[in-house]
Amino acid sequence: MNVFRQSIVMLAGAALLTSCPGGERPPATTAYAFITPDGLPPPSLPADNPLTVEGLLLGRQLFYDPILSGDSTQSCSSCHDPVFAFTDNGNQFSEGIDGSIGDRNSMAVFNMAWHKGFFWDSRAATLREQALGPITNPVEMKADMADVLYRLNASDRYSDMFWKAFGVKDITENELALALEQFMLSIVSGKSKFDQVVAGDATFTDSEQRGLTLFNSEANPNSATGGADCFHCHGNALFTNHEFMNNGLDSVLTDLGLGGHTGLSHDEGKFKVPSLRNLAYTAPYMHDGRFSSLAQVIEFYNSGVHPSSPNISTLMVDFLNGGLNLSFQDKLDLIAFLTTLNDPYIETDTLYQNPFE
Amino acid sequence: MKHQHIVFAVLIGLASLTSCDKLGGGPGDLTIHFGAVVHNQDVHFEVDKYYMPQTGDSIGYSRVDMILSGLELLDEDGEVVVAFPDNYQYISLNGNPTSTTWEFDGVIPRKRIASMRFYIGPDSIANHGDPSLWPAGHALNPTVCGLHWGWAGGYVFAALEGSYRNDSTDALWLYHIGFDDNRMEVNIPLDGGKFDRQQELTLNVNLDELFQGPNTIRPDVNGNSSHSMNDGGLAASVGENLEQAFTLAIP
Repeated sequence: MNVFRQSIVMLAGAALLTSCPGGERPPATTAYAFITPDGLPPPSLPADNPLTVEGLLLGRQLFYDPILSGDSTQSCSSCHDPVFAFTDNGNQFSEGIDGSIGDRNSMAVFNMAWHKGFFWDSRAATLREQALGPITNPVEMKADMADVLYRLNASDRYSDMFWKAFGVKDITENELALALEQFMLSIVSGKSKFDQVVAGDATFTDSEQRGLTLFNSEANPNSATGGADCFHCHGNALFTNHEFMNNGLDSVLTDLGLGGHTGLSHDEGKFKVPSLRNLAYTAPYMHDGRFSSLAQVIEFYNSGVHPSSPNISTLMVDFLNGGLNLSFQDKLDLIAFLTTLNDPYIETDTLYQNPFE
Repeated sequence: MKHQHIVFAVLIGLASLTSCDKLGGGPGDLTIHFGAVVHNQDVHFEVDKYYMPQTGDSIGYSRVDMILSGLELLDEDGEVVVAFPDNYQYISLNGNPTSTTWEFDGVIPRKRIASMRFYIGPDSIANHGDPSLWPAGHALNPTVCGLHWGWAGGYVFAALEGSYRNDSTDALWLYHIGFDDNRMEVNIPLDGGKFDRQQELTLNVNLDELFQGPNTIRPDVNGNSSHSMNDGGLAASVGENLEQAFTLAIP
């Protein structure tokens, strides 16, 4: 055998090693261009799960498909409806497939590309890890992952979609998580009136402008010019600092939050600080959905914070003992400003909608 | 045999090229680690309170976040040998996750370095620029540092928070230092000039110094909260203390 023939044999062997079983080559994917809305900082997207059109559409299909639940009656969208900024239809708690009721309020799903730490208690470090949680949670979709994967692998449609998106014939929970992660990463909210004002395309009313000033001003309960001090935890264009904090809801904790996950006493009572975008759609509020209206939320911060709550946030130091001392008009103006953070496009953008309808 | 000589010569040449840096031709790296200490011991954030003998207060720490900028390496005459005006670093000594390292790759010249100088807080131009323009992962991207003070049009240079206890009070403290006039300058002597180009240094941030010097700070007396406005100079005083809180850790 001469050198040329040896080379051909070696190249053929290498080709066999790199091709998939059956000799079928994974199809090329189409990169999805993530567009950061003006005014929002560029996010750190996961380098090991680049967004593709195929992966995103697969993730969307899975998100809306009850095939992921134990009895094929619930999908992710059952508790994360785009009409409610991907929360649960105004419900305080969500109902699982067997009627079980959870004990925390369904979290909104938008601008996930900027988040770190998932669920109210940060028990998932990544979005893909979070994506699998509700599927097997016994009070939610209550599925056996092996059954879910069996159903997906038995489906011609999903076999084809996973092959096109990830080049796999044997669907595992890894690809399932990656697909759901891609879809959730693609959900972006940045077209509110606030964004339009920042871009110079709209103007605030006097009440909204005053609400913004209150939002961004430090608390000073001893002064008529004191603010509502919202910005410390809900500042910047995403309206969350992405931290886990105790905002003083209770003097005696009934839910340990982050502390229940980490086991650290100094984390007890801390929960994820949510974004204040789209509040019109995400009621009720707080990790346990205890407040049904924005007026209740503002009154809580104005006069109802428990200063003795364990591990209460230092960011609230200025109004722990005196409250905010907001006037009735202050509260109305704050609500007026918060309303400008609603983004109606999130419930109408066709990219996010149910592909089965 | 002739071919063997040629191959040998090429190998020698390659070896000399790749070892040039170590022999003294090219620039070197610098890595600065930051650690939190109180009374020369590691800090247990959110857990322990530390007795301050000057005041009798016990101080606990929950957050020490800073934006560092403008590192300069200086020779024995105080002249700048090399400067890094575009290298910003977010430091979080108790964040989730922590950020405790500042790196400079392949840029340290072969010269005698006697000290370093850097700033806590970005320069005025970066401080007042559009924060949404910084790329993902950059220290000044608000999602990375969490220190952009939207309402004031700039960054919090240092966010220092914790709790305190004295005879009459058990409460929280919070000092957020910002605004251009409060940008802090830190100077560190570097071990009698022994500084080569492949350096890895650790700087301790002595958090007891925040309350003990050069300005004595008692949260109960001087104020337990400041956002650097209308505070009677409290933030500036804490900032002066923070400037002096950095020391070179001796391995």
